Amino acid sequence: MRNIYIIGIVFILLLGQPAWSQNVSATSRLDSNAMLIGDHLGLKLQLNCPAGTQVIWPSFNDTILGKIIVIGRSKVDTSFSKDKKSLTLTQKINLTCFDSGFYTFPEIPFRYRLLPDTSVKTALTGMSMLKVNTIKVDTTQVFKPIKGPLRIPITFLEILPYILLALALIALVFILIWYVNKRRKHEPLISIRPKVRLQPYEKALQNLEKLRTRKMWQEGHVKEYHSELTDILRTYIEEGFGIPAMESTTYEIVGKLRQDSVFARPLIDKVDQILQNADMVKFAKFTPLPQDNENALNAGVEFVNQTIKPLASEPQVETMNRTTQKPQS
Amino acid sequence: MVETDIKALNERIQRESAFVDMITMEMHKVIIGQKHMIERLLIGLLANGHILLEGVPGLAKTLAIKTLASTIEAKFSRIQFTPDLLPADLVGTLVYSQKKEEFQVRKGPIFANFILADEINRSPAKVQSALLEAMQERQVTIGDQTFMLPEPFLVLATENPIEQEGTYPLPEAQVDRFMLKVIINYPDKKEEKLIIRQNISNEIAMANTIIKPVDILRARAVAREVYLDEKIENYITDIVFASRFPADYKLKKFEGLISYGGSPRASIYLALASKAYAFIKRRGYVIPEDIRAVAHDVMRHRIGLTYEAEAENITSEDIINEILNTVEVP
Repeated sequence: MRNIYIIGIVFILLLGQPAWSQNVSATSRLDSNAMLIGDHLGLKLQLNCPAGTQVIWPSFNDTILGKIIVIGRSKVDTSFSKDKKSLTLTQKINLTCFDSGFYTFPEIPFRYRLLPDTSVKTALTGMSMLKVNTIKVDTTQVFKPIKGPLRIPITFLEILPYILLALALIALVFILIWYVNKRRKHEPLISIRPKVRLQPYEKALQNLEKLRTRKMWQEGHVKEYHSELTDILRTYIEEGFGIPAMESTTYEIVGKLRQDSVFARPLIDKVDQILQNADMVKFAKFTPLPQDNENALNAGVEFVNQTIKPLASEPQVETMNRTTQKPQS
Repeated sequence: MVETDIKALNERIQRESAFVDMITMEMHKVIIGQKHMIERLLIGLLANGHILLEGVPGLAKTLAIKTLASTIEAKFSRIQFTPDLLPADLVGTLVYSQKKEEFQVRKGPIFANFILADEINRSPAKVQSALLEAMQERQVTIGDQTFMLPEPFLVLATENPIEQEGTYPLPEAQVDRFMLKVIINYPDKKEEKLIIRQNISNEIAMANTIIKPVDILRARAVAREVYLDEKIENYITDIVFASRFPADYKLKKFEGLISYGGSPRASIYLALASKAYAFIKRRGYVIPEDIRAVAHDVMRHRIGLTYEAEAENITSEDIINEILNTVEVP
């Protein structure tokens, strides 16, 4: 027991004792001089040297002294002094030991060169002492079973894939049920809301009413008003009667209507009148009377209304059906 | 220009354009049919633009120009373009006078109000250039002296499309200087019969001189005042741009078939010719019909076709037709 105290005192004296070689010093310091068996302990290696020194850092095997196990090493950390003249290199080594007893760490050599001197010199750390304590066993107690491994708490990221998988499975089940129901009822899988395509006359009448409500000529936009009025009527003639009115002049449109006898003569005269008046407004700076502006629109509405008959049919409904439907029996 | 101005302009046009009917009447005394050609000659006269007439021999090209000149009390020159013609034969030269012991300017036939350049493609490029320079600059330099050409100065050139042997086709840059290129077609059966009757009778039809150059200049000034709305300007630029960038005007099929489209001269001449056409129609403003009426004559020699187009028998007429049928009318 007395020997143990002596060794302990020597260990304490040696701990942290720097090994000086010129202005290069190497130290090794254990976090503690004693540790419990299987516990972790840090060993800090440090070398102080002038900046520019070439150092061969000591390397360790997996064990020190055959019993102390090296379980981790940090990278060698470099820090300069404020005047940048000296350098401190540090490394932390994690150790553990599963054999109780006293251990004496030998001096650890740091090889270096102080340039321009190319000779290799060695700086040694001091020796360190370590006592590895064992656990006291109460032999009077009964033997207990070996304790199982500790459980690590489960994180959300670990269970996320399982949650997603479960959701996908639920969704798949729902889709299958929905699909089977649709098939059973012979319904289309995806039905886009029916888009009613307006007949040319409906579109024309709608646009003419919109033009009326915009009160363009009342606000002084007479030219724009007549341009829009004629555009509505030309679009109507083009879409309704297949005459390329948007790319034709008034003379050509009226000529084509007369040639094909699409309408009765008075109706053609009416549209001729509207288009010619609009041409005067658009191209000759003609300013019609307010009543004439209103009359032009009324005449346009009347023209469309009187030419509905040859075009009228059931509105066309566009439905997109992406299933391969079986015909209903 | 306000509405009242256009009304006043319409009245002026009514007054100033009276001669149009008279010229047409006088020309129809001599020329049977060819209404389109006569109308285009009047457009050139009113818009101050030179005209290139193209047609097979015997379609009264030369006669039409001679007759037009004879209805106006103006100086007329006819120059028959031949391979040995020299620029000096056209513009004039310096001749040494032994009596005065100095060089004297002898002006060429180009110093006239109306020039009939007959078969312009039969002369080499140097002669064509001399004429075309005079057409553009409206002046001629002989020796160290520059002479202004008289006003009105109108060149009416003819060329024959079938006899290409020994001809010098006009380069694109020079053809571009003609405001209109008018294609003359055969008369119809009825007109052909009248032509026979007129030519076998003992009476020789002659056109009377009815107006003076000053009347033409006054009419030109009025024709220039014809109102051209911004919508019409947009229509003109759309037509010309469609010939340059057909894909932008739903004419992707013409990409690769047009080597070059209408130049800015095409836009200018479309505007001027449509104004003149509106004047002839006694209108003080231009409508889209006017543009369409002159579009072919203004554009046909300003659209270049690629070899692919020629291989597919696509002509500039086809392209212009398609452009007019595709570009939206205002």
